[in-house]
Amino acid sequence: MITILGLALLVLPLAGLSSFALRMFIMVGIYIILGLSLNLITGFTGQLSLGHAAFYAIGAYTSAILSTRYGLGFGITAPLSGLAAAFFGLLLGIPTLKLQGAYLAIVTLGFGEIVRITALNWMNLTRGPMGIPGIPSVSLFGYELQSNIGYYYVIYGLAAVTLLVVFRIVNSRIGRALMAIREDELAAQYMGVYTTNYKVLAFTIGAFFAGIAGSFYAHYVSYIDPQSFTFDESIQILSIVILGGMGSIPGTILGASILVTAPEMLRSLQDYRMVIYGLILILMMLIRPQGLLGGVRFGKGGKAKNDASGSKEYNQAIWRAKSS
Amino acid sequence: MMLLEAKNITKQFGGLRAVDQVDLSVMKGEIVSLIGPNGAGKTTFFNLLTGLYSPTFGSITFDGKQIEGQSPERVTSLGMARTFQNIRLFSNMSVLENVMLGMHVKTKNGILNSIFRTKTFHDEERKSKDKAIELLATVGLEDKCEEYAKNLSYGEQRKLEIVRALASQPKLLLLDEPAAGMNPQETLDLNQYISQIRQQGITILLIEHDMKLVMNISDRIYVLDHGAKIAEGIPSQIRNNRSVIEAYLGKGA
Repeated sequence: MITILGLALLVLPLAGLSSFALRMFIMVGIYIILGLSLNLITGFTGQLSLGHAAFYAIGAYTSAILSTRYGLGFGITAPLSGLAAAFFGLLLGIPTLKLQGAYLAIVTLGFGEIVRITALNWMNLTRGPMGIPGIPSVSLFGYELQSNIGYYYVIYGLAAVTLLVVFRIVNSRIGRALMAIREDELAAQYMGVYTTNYKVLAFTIGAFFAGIAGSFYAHYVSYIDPQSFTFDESIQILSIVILGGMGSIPGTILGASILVTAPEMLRSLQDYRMVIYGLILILMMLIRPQGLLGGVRFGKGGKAKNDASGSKEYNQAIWRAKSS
Repeated sequence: MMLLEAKNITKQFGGLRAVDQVDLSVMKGEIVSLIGPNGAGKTTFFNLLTGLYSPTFGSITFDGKQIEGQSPERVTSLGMARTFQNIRLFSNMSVLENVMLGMHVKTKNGILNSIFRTKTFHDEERKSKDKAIELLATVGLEDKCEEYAKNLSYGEQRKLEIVRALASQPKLLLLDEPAAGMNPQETLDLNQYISQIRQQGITILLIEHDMKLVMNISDRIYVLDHGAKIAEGIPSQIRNNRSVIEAYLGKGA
């Protein structure tokens, strides 16, 4: 399944897609990385973050500044952007990840705003609302990418690496500890899991990949300003994770594909399109609150066995059991 | 040899003394029960031993180390494992994963090992998995490895929780009302299972309301009432103890 999907993605651009379609695919790729990185924090570790766009912004600004001022190429700016975002993830995580649920959500929301407002006001560094134009395009091994096809391969290469890393973390001793925190933090502590450390770890890794996505975005669109990294952006990423299914890797890919392309697909509906878009999300939460692929954790076999949790019937049964 | 020694343990919640100057000791290899009416402070006492609360005063020595005020993570890594009165499994994880989490303190794979899938990673994973299946087989759950923990029956969940605790290879196992909600046959099975665990050299401290089980299995019994210890001794002494009978049935019984 995964092999087929991978091969399809590999030959797709050769089929003569329009540059509009290629651009859509590239944006989907960026959001797959953002979605996977947030899924590690929110879906697998259960820590609600409402400020994921902040790490995306930090990555984008780091790359924009390094490349326009110091002439560094994508091969250097991308890892540095990842590290810069990870550093802030660590910095934010250490004091705040002792908080739980709504409190953590509020702190991350605040962090997202701080980053955006800093970008808006620190004129010397970010040029504020004027943004940073003229970010050089991606060049790798001396080749400068001219066409969307090049960008397409780079972003799906990065997405594949992100996927592999998240998959391997989740399916390991570390991943089990993260999911245990989501399931029952106290019981996890009693298994000897230092929960705060693991939450900070998930946050840092998630921030790292969001930073890489930001770096790619900056080099790809060549102009960034604080408008690209608002609270709406964080919510967009969170919607991808929720729509696809919390804690589901294939779900995130599906969620990103749907939520990035839907507004474009619905363009013919003109003014009604955002209404329809909202309606889809509401219906979705009513009919399948665990997300499209919720419960499908690993992509193949085994774990998806008759998982009824989250369904209406299941919730009703639980409710009856609790009230009797 | 003394494995656990709690001296003069007191826990004050505001104006309430939930546990009042309790001394308790457990020798290596013993099965010791902690009984008492509802609200006597038994679970609070467990929470003090395992580091969830720190005692207002008193000291706890476990396996030669002072542990009062240490975190649950630390206490677990020193060799104490527990189950909960109301089952606390990782519901949306497989049965196998639940047991493998029990091994968290006995395994080492870190982030880089996991990402690069080194040989050490595979070796440790394979070993943990084999060990987990072996443990599950002792309670007949080996066929349900891939099942979500929440899909198990109540009795199976109770068993899984004990297996998960055993996976950390504890020196001392604390069981908080393991027979709650079980029918007589299941309680009998549990009785046998606990004896089996003791034969493996694991010491057990038990909170339980099922008197048949307690009297049957315990080497010594401590009785708490209103946070204070009112009796201790071997089962036959406890059975005939005046103040224990009064605590359970009221004066004049």
